[in-house]
Amino acid sequence: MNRGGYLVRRLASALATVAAAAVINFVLFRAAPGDAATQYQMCRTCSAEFRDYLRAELGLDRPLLEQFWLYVSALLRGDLGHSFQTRRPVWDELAGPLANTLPMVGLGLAFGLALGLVIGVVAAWRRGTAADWAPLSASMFLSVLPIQWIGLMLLLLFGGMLPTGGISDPYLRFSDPSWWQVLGDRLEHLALPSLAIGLAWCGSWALIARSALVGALGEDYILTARAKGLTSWRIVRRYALPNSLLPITTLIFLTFGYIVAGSLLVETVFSYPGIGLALYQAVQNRDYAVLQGGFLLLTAAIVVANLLADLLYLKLDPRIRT
Amino acid sequence: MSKSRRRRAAQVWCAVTVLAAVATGCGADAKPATSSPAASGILSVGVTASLGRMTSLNPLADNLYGSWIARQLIYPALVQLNGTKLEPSWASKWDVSEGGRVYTFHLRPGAWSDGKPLTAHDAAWTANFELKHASDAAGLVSFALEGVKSVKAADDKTLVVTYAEAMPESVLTLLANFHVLPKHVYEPHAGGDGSKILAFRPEDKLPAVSGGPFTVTEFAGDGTTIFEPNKGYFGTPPKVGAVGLQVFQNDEGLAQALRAGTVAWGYGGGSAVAASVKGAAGLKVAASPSQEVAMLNVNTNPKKRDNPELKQVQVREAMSLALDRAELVEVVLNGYGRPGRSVLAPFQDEWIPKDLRADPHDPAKANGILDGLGYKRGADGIRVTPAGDRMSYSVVVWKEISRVAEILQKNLAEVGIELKPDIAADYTAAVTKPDGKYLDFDLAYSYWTLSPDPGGTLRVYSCDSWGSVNFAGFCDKDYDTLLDKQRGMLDPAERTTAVGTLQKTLLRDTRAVLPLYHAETVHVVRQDWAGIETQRFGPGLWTQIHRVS
Repeated sequence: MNRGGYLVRRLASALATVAAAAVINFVLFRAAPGDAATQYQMCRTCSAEFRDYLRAELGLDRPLLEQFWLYVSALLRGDLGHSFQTRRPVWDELAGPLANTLPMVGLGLAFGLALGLVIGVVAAWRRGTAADWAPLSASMFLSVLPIQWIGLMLLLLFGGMLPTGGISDPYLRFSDPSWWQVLGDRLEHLALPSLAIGLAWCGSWALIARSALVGALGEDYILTARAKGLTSWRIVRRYALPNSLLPITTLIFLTFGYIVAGSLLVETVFSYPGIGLALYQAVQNRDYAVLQGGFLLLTAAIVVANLLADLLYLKLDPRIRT
Repeated sequence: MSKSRRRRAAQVWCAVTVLAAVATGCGADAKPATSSPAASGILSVGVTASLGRMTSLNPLADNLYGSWIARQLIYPALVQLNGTKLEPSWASKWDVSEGGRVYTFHLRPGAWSDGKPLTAHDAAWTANFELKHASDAAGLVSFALEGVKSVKAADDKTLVVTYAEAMPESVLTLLANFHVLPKHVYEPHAGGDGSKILAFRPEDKLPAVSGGPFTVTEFAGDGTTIFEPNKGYFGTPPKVGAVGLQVFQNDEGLAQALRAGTVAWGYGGGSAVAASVKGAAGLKVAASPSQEVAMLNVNTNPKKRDNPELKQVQVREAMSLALDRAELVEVVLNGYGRPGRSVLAPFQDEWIPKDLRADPHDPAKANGILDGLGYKRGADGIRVTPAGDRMSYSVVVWKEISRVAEILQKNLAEVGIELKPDIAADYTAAVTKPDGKYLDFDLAYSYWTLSPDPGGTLRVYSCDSWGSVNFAGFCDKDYDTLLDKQRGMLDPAERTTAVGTLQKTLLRDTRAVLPLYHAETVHVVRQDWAGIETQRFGPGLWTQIHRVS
């Protein structure tokens, strides 16, 4: 297959996935009992007539097909609709939380990756020794624990030292802070949620890194390097590690999308106002418009991450181009 | 740049990033003192999301508790509460005339935070809008004006409230929840049928126009909302520089913030937070008499289609005797509460008959009643009616009360009754189905935070409340007649007797309602703060709080 054909096929597949997700989003949320006009918060005591009015205003009284057409045509214009709860554009509701989630996930990814790579490389390098199984087992143990449990433990352990809620010190502005103080405050608030993400994922990355490196260390060119008398660390660093980075790189991209989508639990533990928490509130408020938009964004995040991984593979692995 | 220099630059960048991350983590406990709420005179209040989240400052569009807290700080009320007692607020005093039908409130001079005068015309406009749209756009707040016929501004400082019939002064406690809105801000959104006002979001343009002791300068319904003093406030100015209302998504986050001192007051933190911080230095737990009631409602609709044995009062009595209320208090409330005694809460003790006690946990007696009725246990231990139907009932609940449901299941299983939780997405629809006729549901859990006047709670079980908040399908003409009559009784003793009779109708004569527990209002407060009177509601509470050295 030529490079262009591969690209077109991957792009078409990604678009089809997003389109399918958009349709499923629409159907799924309307299949649930109740709607925005019946939910507790907005209309607990109002009359049936007023509920009908609200349904009409929110467009919920229209035939499903018509609602679907309006939804799809708006999507094609890049319009995710308006929140049923706040009446603001859905994008405005989600952009801020998404912007909060990305650095948390990014830092968590960096931390987990660094820890996972160190453990994986050491484990492969010292295969069969305590340096292999001890840290690997510990990281694998962490990776099977629910992330919210890890978060809760971090909260209990570091609660007195690091902030346990929010994205920043809400009172910092009263002290006319410097840019560095603001940055430091943000990083403090990012520390625990990012650490939870990193700890929860480092086991998987350690295992992949070890597995890839062990494979690379068994190649003939490594035998040649050994025969030339190079030190084992130099062999790992200069020859084996670069050649084992391909699966790790792919994994990073694939994981990124899933971490963003799965940020809800971490954000709930640390009261972190990210995309997961925004969607949780939308579920509570039966805010279909925000839910549809949010899940579409998350689906798109995973699809884009997968696509980037594929494109990167295309760049890194010459075998795909042939 | 050469390849090696690029690599070096990348390495340096990575090192700086990691070091910065590590440094900020390690240095976290060395937070600048200037950002500390305690140091800067900022009262940091923490609430859990289940209690304190809000979606808007517009009281017509948001009836969440967090929004109600915010309203106390930014919108004036005629009166405020200290427990169940009335206190002046915006109204410095009031006169009663026409035998208790007309109340004339004399208002203190004040200004909205944007400089416009705060007058009786604002109150009259708000009240008339809410009365006009009581069953639609103002459905969330109109309860505060129950029984009111008209509201007029006699002049800028005098408001005349006329009730449809004579009212005892205790009914005015409802007016503590009547929050006056700035007419010049809300009226442009209230045209036509008034419904557009629901879309109005005062928090979109900050600082929000306020007539209370504070105004909102930052709004985050699920984060931290900042309140700063309103210079035009009619009453005693606040003693703090600002108030921050921070929402925590879980109890432990709030508990840890209280321990760390980043939150000074865990507002209504609840028993779990209190249990978590138990013994922590510098913190005290303040529990005030419960204003809440959790109940198990039994479907009393005579037209109910199945499980006819539930219509027997003896069966309901046996169910009540099977319930271990002490265990509910211990497990669900960590001991911060009382066994369910009435549909009213302990803070309304003066309204509850002395001889009305919580049913004891007596499974032996409950089994005796059911045996006597001829309901024998089947092979699986569940009783069977003479018609051959198992005594297996569904109970409409919401998912957050799974621990309550587990205890109820266990208790009732001991007397041979099976309970199956039905987690409802649309609570009212699940209870009143089909079409508001209450033909299907067996039991339903309900939980209320109550206003001081008992009338509102008792009205939940009136025929008027069918299809909305009446979760027992209860409708009794005699009950409704007495309910209407008590509202106009000016003699406190006479009214107390009537209110007692109404409670006994629900709790003894029909046992339509089985009270479960009353959760105390539990606050956790740092000891370097004073003036937090947890029984008070309204500006009087928030303006008195100050830091002690």
